[in-house]
Amino acid sequence: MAKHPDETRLALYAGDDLGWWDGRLLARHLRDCDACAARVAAFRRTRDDLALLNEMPPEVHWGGLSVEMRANIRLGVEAGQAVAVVPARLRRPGWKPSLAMATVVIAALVGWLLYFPRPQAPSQDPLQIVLGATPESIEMRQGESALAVVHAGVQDVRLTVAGARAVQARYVDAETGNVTISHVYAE
Amino acid sequence: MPILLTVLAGLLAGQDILFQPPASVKVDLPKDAPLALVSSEPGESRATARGGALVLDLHMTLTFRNLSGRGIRGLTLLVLAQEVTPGGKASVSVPSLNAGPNETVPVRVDLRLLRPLVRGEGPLVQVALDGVLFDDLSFYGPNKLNSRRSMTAWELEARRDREYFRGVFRAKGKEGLRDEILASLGMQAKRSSISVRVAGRGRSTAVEPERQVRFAFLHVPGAPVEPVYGVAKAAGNAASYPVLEVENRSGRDVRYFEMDWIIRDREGREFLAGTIPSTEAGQALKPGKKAVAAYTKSLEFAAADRPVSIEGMTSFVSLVEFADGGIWIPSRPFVSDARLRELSGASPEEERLTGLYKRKGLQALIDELNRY
Repeated sequence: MAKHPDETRLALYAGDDLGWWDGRLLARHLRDCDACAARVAAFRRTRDDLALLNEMPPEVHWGGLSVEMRANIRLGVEAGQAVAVVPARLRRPGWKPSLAMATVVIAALVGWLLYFPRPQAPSQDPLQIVLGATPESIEMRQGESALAVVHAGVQDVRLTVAGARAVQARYVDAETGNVTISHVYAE
Repeated sequence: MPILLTVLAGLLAGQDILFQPPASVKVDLPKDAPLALVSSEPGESRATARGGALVLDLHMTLTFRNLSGRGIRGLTLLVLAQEVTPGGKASVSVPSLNAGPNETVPVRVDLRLLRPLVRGEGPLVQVALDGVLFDDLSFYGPNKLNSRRSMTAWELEARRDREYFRGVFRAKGKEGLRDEILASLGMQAKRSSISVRVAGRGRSTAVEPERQVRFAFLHVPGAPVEPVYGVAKAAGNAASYPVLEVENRSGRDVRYFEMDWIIRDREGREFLAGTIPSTEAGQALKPGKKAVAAYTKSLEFAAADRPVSIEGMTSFVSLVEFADGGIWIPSRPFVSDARLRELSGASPEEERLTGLYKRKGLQALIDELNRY
């Protein structure tokens, strides 16, 4: 039996983050090693569970942090440019400062092209589970997947967002004749 | 544990698993509860594996008997598949009941819940009693979901609307009542439908630049609190952080209030977006003092699958709870306003009464109005 891969490589493989070649080698190993295959399966279960529990702590706002970090990087670049300005009469600039400046400009340009917020670019975490109310049902949505949590089969259902925590569905139950009000809670 | 093993074995074999009472569903009632469980029919309830989650399709009928010596006007059940996972927790309320001592109450549970595929032991779904409202407006239950407040408000609306329809019948007879019911059904059919997505905190898209929109307010006669200022951020079809400041104009301490939130699009159409609750600070709002209602999430709106471009916002006071537990709701003349009725719709009781007319006719409705 070949040497077992370490936990890090197994975790990377479970998350599809291992390189292509390494991944093929590890896949071959997994075909013959139940112990490692079980570990990979456990990593995948944990990842799925985390996805279900994906609601980030409210105080961590990744979008905001990302914008802040980009702003800091730009600020740093601009500060670097400001510091790099040397009076011409003191010293004739050589080719090295020009090259450095060109590099900074190119980096800034690439950064701007990559990160400048464009219209219709969704900033929402695609893994975030969101609760919604359509005219027919309450649904949980994650990325492009949606799951109705109050049935569309119920007739004349009235759906409203009830506060910050829940969506409400109200209908007259055809079987009992009673008004039935269901709430599905987001947290 | 046996039920989980059965479920897992079935799911591994790629099957839907039909619920088996009582192992699949556990109904917990306190020993001193005014209700007893008579029967639990799982119907076509089933569990299905989807990815790492178990989807529980519930189509249950639970029947309870009123063990108290009083009439029951409403009850709320907590339905729990998993406490932490979004979509794992729900509630089912049945207002507008008239269940006398020893009578039975059927409660239909039509929900879909989620729970992790391989987690925990015991039943797949737990049902617990959150509260029972009696005909004297007294309450029993742990009230973890604040169902006392909701059920009292629904009961007050029911009394208001029953009295209104009785008044129409006394003044205009059968034909007048029929006209009123038909007008209500017409209004319910015209109600604007809108899709709303609760999209977490802050903006969710960058389609249009964000701007501040100030709220307009509808004056509600007799309302204990009055809005004085309100603003929200809007960008395209997304609205976030609505903040409303209200002043207590009554002479009583206020514990909680809710504001209904209406949005207007660029074509002038209006939709009821939802309710904005007051922040529950734990301290009562004293007479003459101001407090804030706020919503910390972003909402996205669409009508007929097209985004609704938000142009304006309107709000009005829809519920006030006093510190002594008393509840205030808007009067019938206020909610009878045609514009508002198309937005807010009928009360639960009005929907039940008009539904009764549709199913059983005018005489059944008159008999029902004369019952209590």
